[in-house]
Amino acid sequence: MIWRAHAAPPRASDASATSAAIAAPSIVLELVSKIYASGGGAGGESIEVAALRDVSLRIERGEFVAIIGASGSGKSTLLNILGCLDRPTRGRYLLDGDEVSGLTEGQLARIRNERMGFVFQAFNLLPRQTALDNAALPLIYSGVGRRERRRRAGEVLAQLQLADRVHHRPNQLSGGQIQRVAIARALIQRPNVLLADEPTGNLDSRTGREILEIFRAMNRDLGVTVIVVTHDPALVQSIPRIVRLSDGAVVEDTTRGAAAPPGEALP
Amino acid sequence: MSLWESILAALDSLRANLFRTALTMLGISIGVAAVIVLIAMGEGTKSYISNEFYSLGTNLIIVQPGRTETKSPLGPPPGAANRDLTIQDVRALERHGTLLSAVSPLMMGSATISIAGRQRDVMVLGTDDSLPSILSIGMANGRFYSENDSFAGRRVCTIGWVVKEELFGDANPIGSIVRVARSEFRVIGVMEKKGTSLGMDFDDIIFMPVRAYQKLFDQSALFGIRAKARSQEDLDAAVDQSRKILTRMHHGEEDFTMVDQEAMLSTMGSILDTLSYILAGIAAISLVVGGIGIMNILLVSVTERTREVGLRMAVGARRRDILKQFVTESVVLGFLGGALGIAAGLAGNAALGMLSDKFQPAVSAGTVAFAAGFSIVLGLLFGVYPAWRAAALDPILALRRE
Ligand SMILES: Nc1ncnc2c1ncn2[C@@H]1O[C@H](COP(=O)(O)OP(=O)(O)OP(=O)(O)O)[C@@H](O)[C@H]1O
Ligand SMILES: [Mg+2]
Repeated sequence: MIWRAHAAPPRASDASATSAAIAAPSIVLELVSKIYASGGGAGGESIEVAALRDVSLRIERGEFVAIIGASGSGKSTLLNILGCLDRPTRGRYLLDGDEVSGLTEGQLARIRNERMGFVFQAFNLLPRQTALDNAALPLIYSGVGRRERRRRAGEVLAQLQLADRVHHRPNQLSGGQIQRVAIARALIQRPNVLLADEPTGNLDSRTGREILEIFRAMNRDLGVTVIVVTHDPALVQSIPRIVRLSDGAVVEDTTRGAAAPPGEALP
Repeated sequence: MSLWESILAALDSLRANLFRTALTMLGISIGVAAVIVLIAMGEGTKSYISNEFYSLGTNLIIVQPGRTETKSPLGPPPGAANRDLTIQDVRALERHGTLLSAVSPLMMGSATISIAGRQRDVMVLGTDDSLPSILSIGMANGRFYSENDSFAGRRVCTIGWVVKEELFGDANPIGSIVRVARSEFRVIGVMEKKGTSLGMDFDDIIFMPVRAYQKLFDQSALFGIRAKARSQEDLDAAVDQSRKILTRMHHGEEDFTMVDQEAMLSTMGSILDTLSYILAGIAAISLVVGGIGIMNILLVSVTERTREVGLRMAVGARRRDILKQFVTESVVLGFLGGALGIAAGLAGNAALGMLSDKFQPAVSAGTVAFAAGFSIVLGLLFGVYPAWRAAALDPILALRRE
């Protein structure tokens, strides 16, 4: 029956992945490339655009990383691959020790649902649904009942100071509130990784700082790995690790000494 | 998400574009309503016709002169006979037709009937005393002529209700002498009001003994013979028996046409069935057009909601979740359209039924259930492709779209 909510069968490697997760780094990219073949060459031959070139990257659990770089340098592409929304053309991606590239579309959807949280720059919310239902959206796809969904969404929204906005629709919310609802949605499944693509791009600098402050708290208090794509130099300053992309390649990867060593943030 | 929740979600997103949803539904509704009304009219016509037939008596056997090769429900074309039916044929059927309860000759013509300066053109039936029982017509007043009157060809007649009203008003006509064409007849009875059956007004008619008719019109060939089988079970056997008797009377030649009421009805019924299926089929085309409307709107909706699909996928929706979401919307749309169409169709039937008391459109619960089921299937059928398009979207591209 297509109607029944359907949990994907447990993977054999689940148990080992959990035990390995303590020791294994959260995210490992090995020589990952993303190549787009786009038509339009003079002779009709297709031109290959490398959005990412041989990117290798390790991100430990509980790290807070900023991805920066010029427009078109491949930041979004990298974030989408990290979030299992997109697949690399070449290279390996190990998430908590598991090879991701061999997984089916359904398994990737489950990873996005349970282990990843996304926050985008704009059009983050479903316009016709309330803050409560927007925040609860991921729970629909893991088979949680309506009542329980709303209860949990209410809790997370309250933690984000939105208790009095739960029944508002996106067009009744400010930009900062919308991003907070999106963060609530990203956090509702208690993900390991929170991915944000220019989450403050549409906000004034003060609200932007507030949103970043929320990320910092999530990272510090819940041990969530946070990866943020941003253009905003003011925000970048306060983020412990910076990965700079240029033309699809990592050209800089610096961790500030002031940052807490990875692992210490874990409870 | 439970089925019920999916339906609520579908209703919710259909509500977001209420006017568009309503217009799309209308396509299905009109189709469903048309199918229901047309099927009901077909059924109504069928029962109207069979009522009309049975109002002329049951277990009726009709004999007309002339052989028709093709089986027409209405007998041979008049004038195609090569040997006439005669009173002797009637007598033979009366004598040997053990499965018949009554046999009557039938002659038909028209004449002017007058009394004391008033006159009227009426249809004249020449027949014998058993016709009233064959056609189940009763008397309002007086009596029908007897076997004796028939046999002797006495110039007596019974008149229909309208004839009586027109010629006599409130006066009692029994015993009066009326002039029919060149002869004088004594009125001995008034027929019960019968109304129109199969296009013939039984109240604007006079009946006279067949021999009197033959003399009056100087004509001996019968228009036809009407007989009644003893029972419904005997009807087929009675037809066979009568056919043998008449064939023998006609020296082994079957130069007449014999139809029984049931055969006529079932021939009529199947013609009407074919007709109403053709009409319903035409109406069903409008349903398909409605389905295409659903598909069109859903394709637009998928394009508009690309971003939504991308977001849902980003938070963990699988392709089949997206597929299910859009198919559910389409099925709900089809069902709502169908329900509205059924309501409109039934209302239309009720309105048509009020126009006449003889003709009543009728649909069975099965037809209604079929219409409801069909509109759901339609929603499913025309929803699958747009839903598949939505499910096949690349989440990355969907999220890039603004
Ligand atoms: N579907 C696609 N087909 C072809 N090329 C693509 C496609 N998607 C992305 N690219 C190319 O890949 C490169 C990297 O794109 P990406 O969106 O990752 O850049 P970005 O760093 O996020 O830029 P911005 O800061 O403007 O968002 C760009 O040159 C882009 O044109
Ligand atoms: Mg980008």
